[in-house]
Amino acid sequence: MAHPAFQSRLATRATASSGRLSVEQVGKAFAIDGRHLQALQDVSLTLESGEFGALIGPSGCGKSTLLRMVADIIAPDAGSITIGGLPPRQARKEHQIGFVFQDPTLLSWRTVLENVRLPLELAGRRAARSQATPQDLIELVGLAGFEHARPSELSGGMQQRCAIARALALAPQMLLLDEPFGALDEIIRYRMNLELLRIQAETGTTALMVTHSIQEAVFMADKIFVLAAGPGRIVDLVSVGIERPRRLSDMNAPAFAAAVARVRDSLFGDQAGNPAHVE
Amino acid sequence: MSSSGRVIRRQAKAALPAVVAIAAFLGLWETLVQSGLAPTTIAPPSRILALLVAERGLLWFHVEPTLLTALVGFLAATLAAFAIGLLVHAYRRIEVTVLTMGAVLDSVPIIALAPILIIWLGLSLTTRMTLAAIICFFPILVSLLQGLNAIPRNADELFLVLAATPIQRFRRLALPHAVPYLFIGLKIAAPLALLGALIAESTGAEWGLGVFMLNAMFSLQVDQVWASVVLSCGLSAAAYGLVCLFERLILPASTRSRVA
Repeated sequence: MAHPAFQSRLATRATASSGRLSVEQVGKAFAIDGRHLQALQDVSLTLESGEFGALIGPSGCGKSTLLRMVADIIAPDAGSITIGGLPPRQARKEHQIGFVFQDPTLLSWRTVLENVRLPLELAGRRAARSQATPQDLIELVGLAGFEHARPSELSGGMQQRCAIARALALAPQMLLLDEPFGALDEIIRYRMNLELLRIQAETGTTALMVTHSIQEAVFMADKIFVLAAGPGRIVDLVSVGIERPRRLSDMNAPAFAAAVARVRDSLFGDQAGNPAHVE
Repeated sequence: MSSSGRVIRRQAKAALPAVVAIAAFLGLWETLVQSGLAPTTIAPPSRILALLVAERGLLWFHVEPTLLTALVGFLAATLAAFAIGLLVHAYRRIEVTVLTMGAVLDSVPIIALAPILIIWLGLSLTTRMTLAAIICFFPILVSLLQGLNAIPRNADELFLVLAATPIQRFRRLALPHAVPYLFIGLKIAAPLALLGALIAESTGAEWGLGVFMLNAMFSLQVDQVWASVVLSCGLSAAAYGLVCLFERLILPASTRSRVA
């Protein structure tokens, strides 16, 4: 089932809990304009190796901050984070983290192939333990034939595919996605969701995605962490029991509707059942 | 073939009004001088052109050291700007200090710097090259630093997540990102380098377009003065054009339009 280049990697995955993400009682505060802002407080979550997690919540609940702390872009004030048993800094230095931004963040002067190859160039040959070549990854994300195109020649969806291939270039144990499809229209977005699920299954990487869409969170994730703001905290954990591989038709399943309703209730509290109020 | 032909035709069409205007201007100039309405201290275009052709050997003899001075000065300034740019990139805190010092150096009139440099380095080619380098250093540095600082936050974070070393970050992210900005500085600096060379030569040299210009002025050779003026204009424009051409060759169109 898996892409041949990833098969041996998948085999090792089955025995080791190498991609387990553990976040324990993490807190982070910012000083904005001299005002103390508690972005996150006492946040704990775990994802087993190969699981897909989603972070959902209103703007300002600190979900991007949490993702950035896992990636060691910023450091937490309190608590601890481990990825496959390693602290984020070490995991990052060992190239265990792939990050996909909302904006594809491709280097405009490089071709698709050169962009996907970038992590390998930076890590050097020693760290390139992935058996998937940049060419394999380009095929995996469905960009075959566009290897020598420049980012400006690609559509938004294709650019994001390229960014995903780049994030996978060093076969990271942890794939972090910060609203990766937020800028895409709904039709492309569904297609990209399916692609990402397929890619994640084939690579066996653990994934954590920030999203604003309840549907997307339920469709993609095994576990949905619902956050609330002021201070940012996890208010609910919704496990989605829909089998994999998932299909778009799963959206009609009762389990899907139930999970959507549960996430919605957690997000909106008692307002969820109220009629729209008109002044 | 047809598309490139179309592009050339379109560009020719766009340039037509300018060509007509210049031709009209030159025609008027020629007529005014020939008819005796303009003072004799103005050489007509035909005589300037004739002189440029007739004296091309002598002129090239003077132009060559000027070009060399400007070119070496320009390259040295670019190199120095890169070295300092790398330093500022590595140690962000020194940026304001470096820019202030650069601005102070840039505000010293080149004509005032010349005597000091001549005392230090003597009346040499090195002195003249140094002057040319000093006059074009600041615009190159400013544009380079601006480009180095204009890296989007996400790209910065991408290189952080990928555990890039500072040198990898400079070479693979900051520098390519800064190149379109850098060219703005280089376009300003190229004619400046030539100006620096001319000024340096006029403060003392054996050969050079600056020397030729000065000699022509003191011996009241009106045609020669005009010829040297036209020549230096042409060289400045050519220096600018060369930088533009170089930019076109090394930057893809998409990157070029980003700054424009």
